[in-house]
Amino acid sequence: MSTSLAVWTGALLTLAVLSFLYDDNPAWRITEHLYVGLAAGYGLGYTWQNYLRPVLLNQVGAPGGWIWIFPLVLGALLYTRYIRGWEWLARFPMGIWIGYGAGYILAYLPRVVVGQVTGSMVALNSLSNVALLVCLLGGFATFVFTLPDRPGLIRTAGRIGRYAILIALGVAFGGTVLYRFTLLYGQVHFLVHDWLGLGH
Amino acid sequence: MTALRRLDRRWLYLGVLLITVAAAVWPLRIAPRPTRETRTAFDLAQALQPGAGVFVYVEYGLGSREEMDPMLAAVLGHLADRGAHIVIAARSPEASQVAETVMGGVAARDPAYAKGYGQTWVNLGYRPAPDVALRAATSGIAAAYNEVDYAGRPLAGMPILQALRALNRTYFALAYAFDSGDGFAPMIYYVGTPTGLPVIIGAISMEVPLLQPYLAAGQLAAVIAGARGAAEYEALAGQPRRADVLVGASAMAAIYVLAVMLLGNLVARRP
Repeated sequence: MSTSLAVWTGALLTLAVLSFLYDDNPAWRITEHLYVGLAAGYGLGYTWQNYLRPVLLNQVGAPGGWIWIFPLVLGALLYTRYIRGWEWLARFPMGIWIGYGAGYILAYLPRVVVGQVTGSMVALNSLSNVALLVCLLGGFATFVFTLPDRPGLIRTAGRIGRYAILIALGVAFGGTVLYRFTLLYGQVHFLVHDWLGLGH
Repeated sequence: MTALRRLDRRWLYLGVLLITVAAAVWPLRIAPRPTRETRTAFDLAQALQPGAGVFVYVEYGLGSREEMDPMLAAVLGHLADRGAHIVIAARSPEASQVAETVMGGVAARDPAYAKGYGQTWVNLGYRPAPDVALRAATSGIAAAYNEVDYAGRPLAGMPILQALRALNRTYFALAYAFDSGDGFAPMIYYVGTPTGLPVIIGAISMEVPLLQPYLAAGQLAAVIAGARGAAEYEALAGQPRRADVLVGASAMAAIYVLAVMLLGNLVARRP
């Protein structure tokens, strides 16, 4: 069995997290709060060290650095939502933020989507390509809800599309189970080997 | 049957725990046959000339380390064997630390990387608004990452970034994203598609179906899929074997889950 304080701390916290599978309990809640607090603290410290501090020291004070005043003021305005009577000022940075994000996506999205569309135009010379076309059209047909009385062809295609979607979801579910199990295996491996000193 | 129908779910959890403990005490190693996607990823890295620029974007955090660390280590080890110059960036503070730990382990095995920080590799770390930083890196890496690396050291004077100035085809041969969520999309949207740089994604198992349309459309060069992909890559690249144990453990769990699902359906069908 390990004599390391770090390993013991990790092992006891792991057991506290796993105890939630039996039932909610104080050990689980303390560990959850500890993790959230640590992650937030780490992120804050890291961002200060790697982003805010270099920007403030090297760029705001440098020649031409006055331009940084604008993002600093906009950023500070976000916090006015906590000051009664001044909340409306927070809408300006939020509006710019949303507009910038939307513009960003609109600038880069079409090229990728067009690539997806052209990528689906395949020669029907293999079973795989035929399946791709059938599932693609079927998938579209599944989501045609606007026609009041859907023609039989669209209903049939929609049924095929629904099965294709179910298969894709099944594959994703299988991947999820394996992924989650791998995470559990990692922690159990830590408990068995590093903490208890058992196994190979 | 009534007893089975009323079975407390905690007995199922106990079954999973017992299987996991068994897999940890008596590891079952399964080395899968390499798929075409993993072989493509290997071939692209194998074709790199010494000194070729490679960008590695790490998105996953502590929660996905068990599945992703072996994959990242195998790829970085292979890139180091090929003498590639590696620029690492991260999508979160956690991911930055994960990347540093894994690359530190790889660098320790190779003198050119152990003492070559700033020359053969660099860790840029994380920047707020990571998508914007990634996009900006396509025109200038140092400016996009505020002229400092993950530990706050100045990038000016690092030979690697004097040679690899911008994240595009002029300077780089390959780009990777190791991903457990949505990190692959920015790499395709802001790097791969606009610059034409070949992008390889290393992904957790549950994310692999989402990547298939991009792979089929040629927007991704290759995908390394979960623990299985990692095990395949380790075998192809002759890297230390860590993922084949995960594949063996996952296989045991999959059999258990299938058995429970089958039993559940049989029980549920009876009136």
